[in-house]
Amino acid sequence: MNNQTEKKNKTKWLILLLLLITVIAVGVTVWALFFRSSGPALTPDYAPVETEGNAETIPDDSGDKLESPNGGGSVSISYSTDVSIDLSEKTASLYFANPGKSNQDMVVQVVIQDTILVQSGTLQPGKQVTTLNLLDGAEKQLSPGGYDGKLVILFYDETTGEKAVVNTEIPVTITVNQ
Amino acid sequence: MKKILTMVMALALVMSLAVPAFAYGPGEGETLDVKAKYNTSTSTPTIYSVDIDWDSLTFTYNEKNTKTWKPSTHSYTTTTTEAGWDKTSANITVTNHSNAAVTVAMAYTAAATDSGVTATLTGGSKTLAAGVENQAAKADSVTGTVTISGKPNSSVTANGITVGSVTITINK
Repeated sequence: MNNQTEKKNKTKWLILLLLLITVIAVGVTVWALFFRSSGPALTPDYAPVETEGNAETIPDDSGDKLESPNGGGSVSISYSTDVSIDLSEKTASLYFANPGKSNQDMVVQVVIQDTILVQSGTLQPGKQVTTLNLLDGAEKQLSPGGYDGKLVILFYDETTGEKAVVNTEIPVTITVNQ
Repeated sequence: MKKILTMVMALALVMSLAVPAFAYGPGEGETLDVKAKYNTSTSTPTIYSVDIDWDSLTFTYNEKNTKTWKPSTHSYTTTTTEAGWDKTSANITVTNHSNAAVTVAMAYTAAATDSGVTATLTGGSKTLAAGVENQAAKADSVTGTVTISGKPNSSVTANGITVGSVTITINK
């Protein structure tokens, strides 16, 4: 009789332990799927293979190339200093253009407090963007309101894809909307 | 009597309700002017556009050595006959084609490597005036100069390493 009671108790504790392990496992899974912030984006050392899907051809762009010394670079950039982010759409609205006279490909990042929230694909000379997608999980790091941020413009050789040692930062005002 | 008086007073009340409306109107022969107006407004949104040009920022240290054979000791003596940089400076220029002024600042950041090489950046900071209509060739610009010195150590190979980077900040 005592043996049976003891066995029942052991079974009961075993079931409770397994239940506890299950609850912990489910909790970790839920956290990993929905609450874990994605790791910081890294600045590519070579131009991304993918061109930016949201890029459009700049209208009325002459495309006459700027002259640049051998091994150097010449770029022209046009931009707006206002950016707005739509959290529900997970997009950023901005204006940035790489006119045809540039001899470098470009990548645009939108950065707030040293966190890269947007990183474009390659923008070739003659292309502009007015919309870019947020990086995965970026919307979880933002709340509606105003932020001081910056555009970081990276330059890449059109032929080799190698990153130039010159880059540009442009302070912008970022408005985040739900 | 009372009835007659009442009727008279009621009639007087009804008559007072018909209030004539007095309006000023043109008299006979008077003319009125019909006017048309043209109102225009022009907005001039700010368009930011800058050109950035840079010389090659690759500096090569060339060293020529001569190994002299010493027959007495069957050994070589190495003598460096030539050593130095192919060039010691490179320029970076920013030109403002915006219809507003911009403030440019250039900064050099050394990489976290011990290469024996030192690079510095001078100049390159200025507020550039807005572009003037029909004078694109006279756009305001600023130039910064990167200067290199030192002698590369063994960490610097023939393929080259990145010893630093230049960041150009453009503020409105």
